[in-house]
Amino acid sequence: MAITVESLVQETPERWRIERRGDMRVPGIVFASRRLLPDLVSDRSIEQVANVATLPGIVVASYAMPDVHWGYGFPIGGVAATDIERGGVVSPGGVGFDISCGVRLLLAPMTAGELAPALPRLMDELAARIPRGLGRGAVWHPMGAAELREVLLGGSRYAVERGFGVPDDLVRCEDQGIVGDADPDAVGERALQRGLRQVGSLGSGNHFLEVQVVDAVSDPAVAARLGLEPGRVCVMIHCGSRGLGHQICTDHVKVMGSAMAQYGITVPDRQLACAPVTAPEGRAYLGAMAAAANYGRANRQLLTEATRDAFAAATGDRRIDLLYDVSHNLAKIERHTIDGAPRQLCVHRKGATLALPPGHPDLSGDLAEVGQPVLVPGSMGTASHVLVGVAGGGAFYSTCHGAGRVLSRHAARRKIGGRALRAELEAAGIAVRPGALAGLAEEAPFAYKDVDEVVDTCERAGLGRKVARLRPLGVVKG
Amino acid sequence: MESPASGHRLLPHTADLILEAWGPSRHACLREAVRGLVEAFADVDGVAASGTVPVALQADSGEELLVALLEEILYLLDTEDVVPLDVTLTEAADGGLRGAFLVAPAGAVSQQGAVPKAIAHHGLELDEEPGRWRCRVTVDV
Repeated sequence: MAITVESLVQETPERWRIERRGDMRVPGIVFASRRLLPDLVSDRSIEQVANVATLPGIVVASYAMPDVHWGYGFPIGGVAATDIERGGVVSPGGVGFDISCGVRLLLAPMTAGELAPALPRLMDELAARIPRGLGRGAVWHPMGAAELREVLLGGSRYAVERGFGVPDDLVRCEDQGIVGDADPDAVGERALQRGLRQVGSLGSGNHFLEVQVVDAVSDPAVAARLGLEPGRVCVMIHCGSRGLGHQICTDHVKVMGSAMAQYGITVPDRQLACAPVTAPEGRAYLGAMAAAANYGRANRQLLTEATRDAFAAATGDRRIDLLYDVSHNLAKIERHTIDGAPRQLCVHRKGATLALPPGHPDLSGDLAEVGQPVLVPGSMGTASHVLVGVAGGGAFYSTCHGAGRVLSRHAARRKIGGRALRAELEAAGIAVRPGALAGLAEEAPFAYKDVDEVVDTCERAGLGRKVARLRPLGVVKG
Repeated sequence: MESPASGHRLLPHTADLILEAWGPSRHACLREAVRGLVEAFADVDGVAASGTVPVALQADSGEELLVALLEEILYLLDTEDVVPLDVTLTEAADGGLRGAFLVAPAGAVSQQGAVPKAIAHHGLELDEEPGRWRCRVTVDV
């Protein structure tokens, strides 16, 4: 359905409402500053927010985060929760092809000044050890189908048990590094085949590994608890579940597309194909999705070990600690209070991050005191941010996941060449190790929204609190 | 005007790719879609084929056939480490497609852009128009 800027009713400076119309079961709520809004209306993401609002069982609203942009079916930066006991559906499109795509932030035992002499060597070591781009293999090859099954069931925990990491790596992982209820039997043969040779690989596109430095701190107390002292070196890894996850989404969209009629479901976009959470198709997808989420976490765990090896080779020090690992493409079964009553919901976050507040029962240890860390990667060459969840957080405790694109890849390539972009970044003091120079331009910083504006909007909208800003020192891209 | 009779192009999409292809027959149109998808991420000019991989696809609709054909490219990339340079296609009696990809090792190809992840059903089209077939598909990258 066509949505124009006139369709949006401003509720607060950062919150806009799309009233119910047509088949929408709930309104749409868009979190955006007035500065971000034109980008949302010029692409089709707002129309996609309205389309999501038609899904059976959806409750409260179809939400868009400040970094929302045009996706396929769901917008990227969308949040939608369905009430499981009231016919609520799960939609693979509400998670996206890259199941459990997410971000991991590592802390190095040194400042940027201390690292500086070794930085070029470190970047070369990372470039040699981080598989990325077209056909470049992976850090680890599981020993056939049986071991891949262990990865799908065990996630980061299995990787650590196999010697790829230390037990402390699991403490600071969302879900302690393992998603329960994974069902490898719901993962098709093609997905398994695609997954065999990619455990420990970045992929390409907007995925990256960056060496960063803590540039500014907004909340010194929380930053200190998380180890984010100004000047400290960090490493951010952004990647997902690779071909295995992509194939699982593809396979289950097909199954649900065929099954919808028997449940009396129609959707305005075929990529919104869905099935009731309690139906066999819904349960199978959730089991396969959890398996892919475990694969994604193991993937980031293997890249963590490769990062440690690179630091050891370049600096003689491999003491790299995990600050946090969090997904921004996932559906989770969560309990929330709706109209005063506790309800069990299937919460889809596609390009959105769970941001639990301090004191939430799902957080343990010191995170229960500071809130769930949210890792927000910026565009290449610009800042990234660490936020934490806040009490009363909106959209089922969700916040943004990145800067959000505004320019197509094609348009970005027309504006600058890979070689020129690399020179610009190097001139700004950012070392670049692209997998493919020609593709680098697609990820030029000007192709994205201003990530500072995005996180400021999240904070003002009550979706999270800023803790620290990270600035890149070096980029490894696929 | 779009000419010659067969061709392909990329249309703007904020995050992903929209690929449009056309040709005088359905299989010619689908062949162009294969070329367009590969060109979106790889420079295959002058790259010699090292082998062939058979294509035998069947689907409930032409649009699903298009998705299945393009998905084969992504599957071959991830599992065989090869990039299809081109494809030969014929219409099969069962409504499906038969043919073969001409492939080269991924290492022999220069990457030009983000490697596609998946083929979406969002905005999927395959239609016969006066004098030609045309398709449009959104590719997640």
